[in-house]
Amino acid sequence: MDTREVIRRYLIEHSATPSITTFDEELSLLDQGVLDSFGLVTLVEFLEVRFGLQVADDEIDAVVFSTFHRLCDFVERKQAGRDVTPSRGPTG
Amino acid sequence: MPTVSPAVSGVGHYVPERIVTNDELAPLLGTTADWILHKSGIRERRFAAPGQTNAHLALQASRQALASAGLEPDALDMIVVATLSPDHFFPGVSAALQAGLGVTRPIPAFDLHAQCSGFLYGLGVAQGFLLSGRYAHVLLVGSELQSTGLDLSARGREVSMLFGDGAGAMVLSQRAEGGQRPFVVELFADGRFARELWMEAPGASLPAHRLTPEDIQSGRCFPVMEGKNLILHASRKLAQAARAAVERAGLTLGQVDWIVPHQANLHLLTALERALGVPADRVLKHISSVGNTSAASIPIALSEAMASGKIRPGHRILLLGFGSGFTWGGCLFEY
Repeated sequence: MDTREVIRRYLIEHSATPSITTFDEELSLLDQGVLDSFGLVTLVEFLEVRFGLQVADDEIDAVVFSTFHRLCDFVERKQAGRDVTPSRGPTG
Repeated sequence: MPTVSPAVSGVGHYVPERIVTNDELAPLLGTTADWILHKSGIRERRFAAPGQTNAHLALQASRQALASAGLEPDALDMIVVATLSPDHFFPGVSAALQAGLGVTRPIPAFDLHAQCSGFLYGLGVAQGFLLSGRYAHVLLVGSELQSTGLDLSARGREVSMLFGDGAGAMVLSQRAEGGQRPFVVELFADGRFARELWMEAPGASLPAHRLTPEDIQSGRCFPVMEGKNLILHASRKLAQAARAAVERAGLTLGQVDWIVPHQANLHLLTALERALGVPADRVLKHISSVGNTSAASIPIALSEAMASGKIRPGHRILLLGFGSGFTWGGCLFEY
Protein backbone atom coordinates (compact mmCIF):
# COMPACT_ATOMS: atom_id res chain seq x y z
CA MET A 1 0.00 0.00 0.00
CA ASP A 2 1.49 3.36 -0.95
CA THR A 3 1.93 6.25 1.44
CA ARG A 4 -1.16 8.12 0.28
CA GLU A 5 -3.39 5.10 0.66
CA VAL A 6 -2.05 4.39 4.16
CA ILE A 7 -2.80 7.97 5.22
CA ARG A 8 -6.22 7.96 3.54
CA ARG A 9 -7.24 4.77 5.37
CA TYR A 10 -5.93 6.09 8.69
CA LEU A 11 -7.90 9.32 8.33
CA ILE A 12 -11.15 7.51 7.54
CA GLU A 13 -10.70 4.90 10.27
CA HIS A 14 -9.87 7.57 12.86
CA SER A 15 -12.15 10.30 11.60
CA ALA A 16 -13.51 12.74 14.18
CA THR A 17 -16.88 12.21 12.48
CA PRO A 18 -17.59 8.47 12.54
CA SER A 19 -20.03 8.62 9.62
CA ILE A 20 -17.37 9.90 7.21
CA THR A 21 -16.36 7.35 4.58
CA THR A 22 -14.75 9.72 2.11
CA PHE A 23 -13.47 13.30 1.98
CA ASP A 24 -12.40 15.96 -0.48
CA GLU A 25 -8.64 15.84 -0.89
CA GLU A 26 -8.36 19.55 -1.64
CA LEU A 27 -10.43 20.87 1.25
CA SER A 28 -9.53 21.32 4.89
CA LEU A 29 -9.61 18.08 6.87
CA LEU A 30 -10.62 20.08 9.92
CA ASP A 31 -13.49 21.83 8.16
CA GLN A 32 -14.75 18.52 6.81
CA GLY A 33 -14.80 17.00 10.29
CA VAL A 34 -12.15 14.41 9.42
CA LEU A 35 -9.77 15.83 12.01
CA ASP A 36 -10.25 17.75 15.22
CA SER A 37 -7.54 19.18 17.46
CA PHE A 38 -7.08 15.91 19.34
CA GLY A 39 -7.04 14.07 16.02
CA LEU A 40 -4.15 16.26 14.87
CA VAL A 41 -2.08 15.11 17.83
CA THR A 42 -2.77 11.43 17.23
CA LEU A 43 -2.21 11.88 13.47
CA VAL A 44 1.29 13.22 14.07
CA GLU A 45 2.02 10.33 16.45
CA PHE A 46 0.80 7.91 13.76
CA LEU A 47 2.93 9.47 11.02
CA GLU A 48 6.03 9.37 13.20
CA VAL A 49 5.57 5.70 14.08
CA ARG A 50 4.22 4.38 10.76
CA PHE A 51 6.72 6.15 8.52
CA GLY A 52 9.63 6.44 10.93
CA LEU A 53 9.55 10.24 10.77
CA GLN A 54 10.55 12.81 13.31
CA VAL A 55 8.33 15.88 13.08
CA ALA A 56 10.38 18.75 14.50
CA ASP A 57 8.92 21.73 16.35
CA ASP A 58 9.63 23.96 13.36
CA GLU A 59 7.58 21.66 11.14
CA ILE A 60 4.45 21.84 13.23
CA ASP A 61 2.28 24.02 11.15
CA ALA A 62 -1.40 23.34 10.88
CA VAL A 63 -1.30 24.56 7.30
CA VAL A 64 0.79 21.53 6.39
CA PHE A 65 -1.92 19.31 7.76
CA SER A 66 -4.82 21.32 6.39
CA THR A 67 -5.65 19.15 3.38
CA PHE A 68 -5.00 15.56 2.41
CA HIS A 69 -2.75 16.65 -0.45
CA ARG A 70 -0.65 18.96 1.72
CA LEU A 71 -0.35 16.27 4.34
CA CYS A 72 0.81 13.65 1.84
CA ASP A 73 3.25 16.10 0.28
CA PHE A 74 4.69 16.74 3.72
CA VAL A 75 5.17 13.05 4.45
CA GLU A 76 6.65 12.30 1.02
CA ARG A 77 9.09 15.19 1.27
CA LYS A 78 10.11 14.01 4.75
CA GLN A 79 10.62 10.51 3.40
CA ALA A 80 12.76 11.92 0.60
CA GLY A 81 14.78 13.92 3.11
CA ARG A 82 13.78 17.31 1.75
CA ASP A 83 13.31 20.43 3.84
CA VAL A 84 9.71 20.90 4.98
CA THR A 85 10.22 23.71 7.51
CA PRO A 86 7.65 26.46 7.09
CA SER A 87 9.09 29.96 6.78
CA ARG A 88 8.96 31.71 10.13
CA GLY A 89 10.04 35.17 11.19
CA PRO A 90 12.09 35.81 14.30
CA THR A 91 9.05 35.79 16.53
CA GLY A 92 6.68 33.61 14.58
CA MET B 1 24.36 21.13 59.35
CA PRO B 2 21.47 19.55 57.43
CA THR B 3 20.89 20.60 53.84
CA VAL B 4 17.71 22.52 53.12
CA SER B 5 15.05 21.54 50.64
CA PRO B 6 11.81 23.34 49.71
CA ALA B 7 8.50 22.01 50.96
CA VAL B 8 4.87 22.91 50.34
CA SER B 9 3.59 24.09 53.70
CA GLY B 10 0.23 25.53 52.67
CA VAL B 11 -2.13 25.98 49.73
CA GLY B 12 -5.30 27.93 49.01
CA HIS B 13 -7.47 29.04 46.13
CA TYR B 14 -10.27 31.38 45.28
CA VAL B 15 -12.63 31.61 42.33
CA PRO B 16 -15.20 34.39 41.94
CA GLU B 17 -18.79 33.58 42.80
CA ARG B 18 -20.24 34.40 39.42
CA ILE B 19 -20.64 31.26 37.29
CA VAL B 20 -20.78 31.83 33.53
CA THR B 21 -22.23 28.79 31.80
CA ASN B 22 -21.83 27.85 28.16
CA ASP B 23 -25.51 28.66 27.75
CA GLU B 24 -24.82 32.25 28.82
CA LEU B 25 -21.63 32.65 26.81
CA ALA B 26 -22.62 30.92 23.57
CA PRO B 27 -25.01 33.59 22.20
CA LEU B 28 -22.37 36.29 22.73
CA LEU B 29 -19.84 34.21 20.82
CA GLY B 30 -22.28 33.33 18.05
CA THR B 31 -22.18 29.63 18.75
CA THR B 32 -23.85 26.94 20.87
CA ALA B 33 -23.16 25.59 24.33
CA ASP B 34 -22.53 22.15 22.84
CA TRP B 35 -19.93 23.56 20.44
CA ILE B 36 -18.00 25.07 23.36
CA LEU B 37 -18.21 21.82 25.32
CA HIS B 38 -17.14 19.74 22.32
CA LYS B 39 -14.20 22.01 21.48
CA SER B 40 -12.88 22.52 24.99
CA GLY B 41 -14.47 20.21 27.56
CA ILE B 42 -15.54 23.34 29.48
CA ARG B 43 -19.08 23.58 30.90
CA GLU B 44 -18.70 26.77 32.91
CA ARG B 45 -16.11 29.25 34.16
CA ARG B 46 -16.03 32.03 36.78
CA PHE B 47 -15.95 35.75 35.99
CA ALA B 48 -15.02 38.35 38.58
CA ALA B 49 -17.64 40.83 39.73
CA PRO B 50 -17.38 44.41 38.43
CA GLY B 51 -14.78 46.20 40.52
CA GLN B 52 -13.13 43.00 41.72
CA THR B 53 -9.39 43.19 40.94
CA ASN B 54 -6.73 40.60 40.25
CA ALA B 55 -5.15 41.56 43.58
CA HIS B 56 -8.44 40.83 45.33
CA LEU B 57 -8.50 37.29 43.91
CA ALA B 58 -4.84 36.82 44.88
CA LEU B 59 -5.54 38.08 48.40
CA GLN B 60 -8.35 35.58 49.05
CA ALA B 61 -6.23 32.65 47.86
CA SER B 62 -3.18 33.87 49.81
CA ARG B 63 -5.07 34.20 53.10
CA GLN B 64 -6.24 30.62 52.70
CA ALA B 65 -2.72 29.40 51.94
CA LEU B 66 -1.28 31.23 54.96
CA ALA B 67 -3.99 29.75 57.22
CA SER B 68 -3.26 26.31 55.81
CA ALA B 69 0.46 26.80 56.54
CA GLY B 70 -0.29 28.12 60.02
CA LEU B 71 1.62 31.34 59.32
CA GLU B 72 0.92 35.02 59.89
CA PRO B 73 1.60 37.37 56.92
CA ASP B 74 4.65 38.81 58.66
CA ALA B 75 6.27 35.37 58.72
CA LEU B 76 6.68 35.62 54.94
CA ASP B 77 10.08 36.46 53.48
CA MET B 78 9.01 36.98 49.88
CA ILE B 79 5.92 37.32 47.68
CA VAL B 80 5.87 36.24 44.04
CA VAL B 81 2.78 36.63 41.85
CA ALA B 82 2.59 34.89 38.48
CA THR B 83 0.06 36.55 36.21
CA LEU B 84 -0.58 37.53 32.60
CA SER B 85 -3.49 39.77 33.54
CA PRO B 86 -2.10 42.31 36.03
CA ASP B 87 -4.35 45.09 37.23
CA HIS B 88 -1.87 47.66 35.88
CA PHE B 89 1.30 47.84 33.78
CA PHE B 90 2.98 48.77 37.04
CA PRO B 91 3.30 48.24 39.90
CA GLY B 92 2.58 44.56 39.98
CA VAL B 93 -0.26 42.69 41.65
CA SER B 94 2.34 41.68 44.24
CA ALA B 95 2.48 45.25 45.60
CA ALA B 96 -1.27 45.40 46.23
CA LEU B 97 -1.17 41.89 47.64
CA GLN B 98 1.61 42.73 50.08
CA ALA B 99 -0.35 45.73 51.31
CA GLY B 100 -3.62 43.79 51.36
CA LEU B 101 -2.13 41.05 53.49
CA GLY B 102 -0.90 43.67 55.94
CA VAL B 103 2.73 42.63 55.71
CA THR B 104 4.63 45.21 57.73
CA ARG B 105 8.17 44.07 56.91
CA PRO B 106 9.72 45.36 53.66
CA ILE B 107 10.08 41.89 52.16
CA PRO B 108 10.68 41.56 48.42
CA ALA B 109 7.50 41.30 46.36
CA PHE B 110 7.34 41.09 42.59
CA ASP B 111 5.32 39.83 39.62
CA LEU B 112 6.53 37.14 37.30
CA HIS B 113 5.48 37.15 33.66
CA ALA B 114 5.66 33.69 32.12
CA GLN B 115 2.02 33.37 31.06
CA CYS B 116 0.36 29.99 31.66
CA SER B 117 3.71 28.55 32.81
CA GLY B 118 4.05 31.35 35.36
CA PHE B 119 3.37 29.20 38.39
CA LEU B 120 6.00 26.66 37.29
CA TYR B 121 8.52 29.48 36.77
CA GLY B 122 7.54 30.82 40.19
CA LEU B 123 8.32 27.45 41.74
CA GLY B 124 11.78 27.61 40.19
CA VAL B 125 12.30 31.11 41.56
CA ALA B 126 10.99 30.18 45.02
CA GLN B 127 13.17 27.10 45.11
CA GLY B 128 16.26 29.15 44.33
CA PHE B 129 15.61 31.68 47.07
CA LEU B 130 14.75 29.00 49.64
CA LEU B 131 17.89 27.05 48.80
CA SER B 132 19.93 30.21 49.26
CA GLY B 133 19.16 29.86 52.95
CA ARG B 134 18.21 33.52 53.36
CA TYR B 135 14.49 33.03 52.90
CA ALA B 136 12.41 30.66 55.02
CA HIS B 137 8.90 31.18 53.64
CA VAL B 138 7.90 32.26 50.12
CA LEU B 139 4.30 32.98 49.10
CA LEU B 140 3.77 32.05 45.46
CA VAL B 141 0.47 33.01 43.82
CA GLY B 142 -0.95 32.34 40.37
CA SER B 143 -3.74 34.86 39.84
CA GLU B 144 -5.71 35.86 36.76
CA LEU B 145 -8.46 38.34 35.97
CA GLN B 146 -9.00 37.52 32.31
CA SER B 147 -12.71 38.15 31.82
CA THR B 148 -12.25 41.91 31.35
CA GLY B 149 -9.90 41.34 28.40
CA LEU B 150 -11.83 38.87 26.26
CA ASP B 151 -13.35 39.48 22.85
CA LEU B 152 -16.89 38.40 23.66
CA SER B 153 -18.02 38.30 20.04
CA ALA B 154 -18.06 35.70 17.26
CA ARG B 155 -14.61 36.94 16.19
CA GLY B 156 -13.09 35.92 19.51
CA ARG B 157 -14.95 32.71 20.18
CA GLU B 158 -11.99 30.30 19.85
CA VAL B 159 -10.15 32.09 22.66
CA SER B 160 -12.92 33.61 24.73
CA MET B 161 -14.74 30.33 25.31
CA LEU B 162 -11.71 29.06 27.24
CA PHE B 163 -10.76 31.58 29.86
CA GLY B 164 -11.94 32.28 33.38
CA ASP B 165 -10.84 34.12 36.51
CA GLY B 166 -9.34 32.73 39.69
CA ALA B 167 -6.30 32.48 41.93
CA GLY B 168 -4.29 29.75 43.60
CA ALA B 169 -1.62 30.24 46.24
CA MET B 170 1.12 28.18 47.83
CA VAL B 171 3.45 28.80 50.76
CA LEU B 172 6.83 27.18 50.21
CA SER B 173 9.08 26.77 53.20
CA GLN B 174 12.52 25.47 54.01
CA ARG B 175 12.57 21.90 55.20
CA ALA B 176 15.69 20.68 56.97
CA GLU B 177 15.55 17.09 55.85
CA GLY B 178 18.48 17.05 53.55
CA GLY B 179 17.09 16.11 50.15
CA GLN B 180 15.24 13.05 51.36
CA ARG B 181 12.19 14.08 49.41
CA PRO B 182 12.35 15.19 45.79
CA PHE B 183 11.67 18.76 44.73
CA VAL B 184 12.88 19.38 41.21
CA VAL B 185 11.91 22.06 38.72
CA GLU B 186 12.64 21.92 34.99
CA LEU B 187 11.92 25.04 32.92
CA PHE B 188 12.00 25.66 29.17
CA ALA B 189 11.21 28.38 26.63
CA ASP B 190 11.36 28.88 22.87
CA GLY B 191 10.75 32.49 21.85
CA ARG B 192 10.49 31.67 18.14
CA PHE B 193 6.85 30.86 18.80
CA ALA B 194 5.99 34.06 20.66
CA ARG B 195 3.20 35.01 18.30
CA GLU B 196 1.44 31.68 18.28
CA LEU B 197 -0.38 32.89 21.40
CA TRP B 198 -0.14 36.55 22.22
CA MET B 199 -1.83 39.86 22.80
CA GLU B 200 -0.37 42.74 20.80
CA ALA B 201 -1.93 45.75 22.50
CA PRO B 202 -1.64 47.64 24.71
CA GLY B 203 2.11 47.62 24.62
CA ALA B 204 5.01 49.99 25.01
CA SER B 205 6.20 49.20 21.48
CA LEU B 206 3.05 50.76 20.05
CA PRO B 207 2.96 54.45 19.23
CA ALA B 208 0.17 56.82 20.22
CA HIS B 209 -0.47 56.08 23.85
CA ARG B 210 -0.02 52.32 23.52
CA LEU B 211 -3.70 51.71 22.78
CA THR B 212 -5.87 53.34 20.14
CA PRO B 213 -9.53 52.99 19.19
CA GLU B 214 -8.27 51.18 16.09
CA ASP B 215 -6.47 48.61 18.29
CA ILE B 216 -9.79 47.88 19.95
CA GLN B 217 -11.77 47.82 16.71
CA SER B 218 -9.32 45.49 14.97
CA GLY B 219 -9.09 43.17 17.95
CA ARG B 220 -5.35 43.74 18.54
CA CYS B 221 -6.15 44.32 22.21
CA PHE B 222 -7.46 40.77 22.61
CA PRO B 223 -5.53 37.52 23.00
CA VAL B 224 -5.21 35.50 19.81
CA MET B 225 -3.85 32.03 19.21
CA GLU B 226 -3.09 29.54 16.50
CA GLY B 227 -5.07 26.89 18.36
CA LYS B 228 -4.46 23.98 16.03
CA ASN B 229 -0.72 24.42 16.25
CA LEU B 230 -0.84 24.97 19.97
CA ILE B 231 -2.24 21.59 20.95
CA LEU B 232 0.50 19.86 18.94
CA HIS B 233 3.23 21.92 20.56
CA ALA B 234 1.69 21.74 24.01
CA SER B 235 1.15 18.00 24.13
CA ARG B 236 4.74 17.33 23.04
CA LYS B 237 6.32 19.90 25.33
CA LEU B 238 4.29 18.92 28.39
CA ALA B 239 5.40 15.34 27.84
CA GLN B 240 9.00 16.52 27.48
CA ALA B 241 8.77 18.46 30.74
CA ALA B 242 7.25 15.46 32.50
CA ARG B 243 10.04 13.16 31.41
CA ALA B 244 12.72 15.72 32.28
CA ALA B 245 11.35 16.24 35.79
CA VAL B 246 10.95 12.56 36.69
CA GLU B 247 14.35 11.73 35.24
CA ARG B 248 16.03 14.48 37.24
CA ALA B 249 14.28 13.27 40.39
CA GLY B 250 15.58 9.77 39.71
CA LEU B 251 12.04 8.41 39.48
CA THR B 252 9.71 6.98 36.86
CA LEU B 253 6.25 8.16 35.86
CA GLY B 254 4.89 5.03 37.52
CA GLN B 255 6.17 6.34 40.85
CA VAL B 256 4.19 9.58 40.55
CA ASP B 257 0.83 9.59 42.34
CA TRP B 258 -0.75 12.61 40.68
CA ILE B 259 -0.11 14.63 37.56
CA VAL B 260 -1.44 18.19 37.69
CA PRO B 261 -1.16 19.80 34.25
CA HIS B 262 -2.09 23.32 33.26
CA GLN B 263 -5.80 23.15 32.46
CA ALA B 264 -5.78 24.57 28.95
CA ASN B 265 -8.25 22.36 27.13
CA LEU B 266 -9.65 18.91 27.91
CA HIS B 267 -8.42 17.58 24.56
CA LEU B 268 -4.89 18.59 25.48
CA LEU B 269 -5.14 16.74 28.79
CA THR B 270 -6.33 13.63 26.96
CA ALA B 271 -3.49 13.95 24.46
CA LEU B 272 -1.03 14.28 27.33
CA GLU B 273 -2.34 11.13 29.01
CA ARG B 274 -1.79 9.25 25.77
CA ALA B 275 1.66 10.72 25.20
CA LEU B 276 2.78 9.77 28.72
CA GLY B 277 0.93 6.46 28.81
CA VAL B 278 -0.59 7.24 32.20
CA PRO B 279 -4.12 6.36 33.35
CA ALA B 280 -6.66 9.15 33.12
CA ASP B 281 -7.55 8.86 36.80
CA ARG B 282 -4.04 9.96 37.82
CA VAL B 283 -4.35 13.27 35.96
CA LEU B 284 -6.23 15.99 37.82
CA LYS B 285 -8.81 17.84 35.73
CA HIS B 286 -10.99 20.73 36.79
CA ILE B 287 -11.29 22.58 33.51
CA SER B 288 -14.97 21.71 33.03
CA SER B 289 -15.97 23.80 36.04
CA VAL B 290 -13.56 26.78 36.01
CA GLY B 291 -12.20 26.91 32.47
CA ASN B 292 -8.62 27.88 31.66
CA THR B 293 -7.33 30.15 34.43
CA SER B 294 -3.81 30.45 32.95
CA ALA B 295 -1.17 30.86 35.69
CA ALA B 296 -3.77 30.05 38.34
CA SER B 297 -4.92 26.72 36.95
CA ILE B 298 -2.23 24.52 38.50
CA PRO B 299 -2.42 25.91 42.06
CA ILE B 300 -6.24 25.91 41.97
CA ALA B 301 -6.30 22.23 40.91
CA LEU B 302 -3.69 21.40 43.53
CA SER B 303 -5.48 23.26 46.31
CA GLU B 304 -8.83 21.66 45.45
CA ALA B 305 -7.30 18.19 45.46
CA MET B 306 -5.48 18.76 48.74
CA ALA B 307 -8.61 20.19 50.38
CA SER B 308 -10.68 17.20 49.27
CA GLY B 309 -8.10 14.74 50.60
CA LYS B 310 -7.38 13.36 47.14
CA ILE B 311 -3.76 14.47 47.48
CA ARG B 312 -2.31 13.41 50.84
CA PRO B 313 1.03 13.84 52.58
CA GLY B 314 3.61 11.52 51.10
CA HIS B 315 2.14 11.64 47.60
CA ARG B 316 4.45 12.47 44.73
CA ILE B 317 3.04 15.22 42.55
CA LEU B 318 4.08 16.21 39.04
CA LEU B 319 3.03 19.71 37.98
CA LEU B 320 3.21 20.54 34.26
CA GLY B 321 2.79 23.91 32.59
CA PHE B 322 2.77 25.23 29.04
CA GLY B 323 1.97 28.69 27.77
CA SER B 324 2.62 31.65 25.55
CA GLY B 325 6.24 32.33 24.73
CA PHE B 326 6.38 29.37 24.34
CA THR B 327 7.21 28.63 27.94
CA TRP B 328 6.84 25.27 29.59
CA GLY B 329 8.08 23.27 32.54
CA GLY B 330 7.57 20.62 35.14
CA CYS B 331 7.95 20.32 38.90
CA LEU B 332 8.05 17.08 40.81
CA PHE B 333 7.75 17.14 44.57
CA GLU B 334 6.61 15.05 47.48
CA TYR B 335 3.83 16.56 49.54
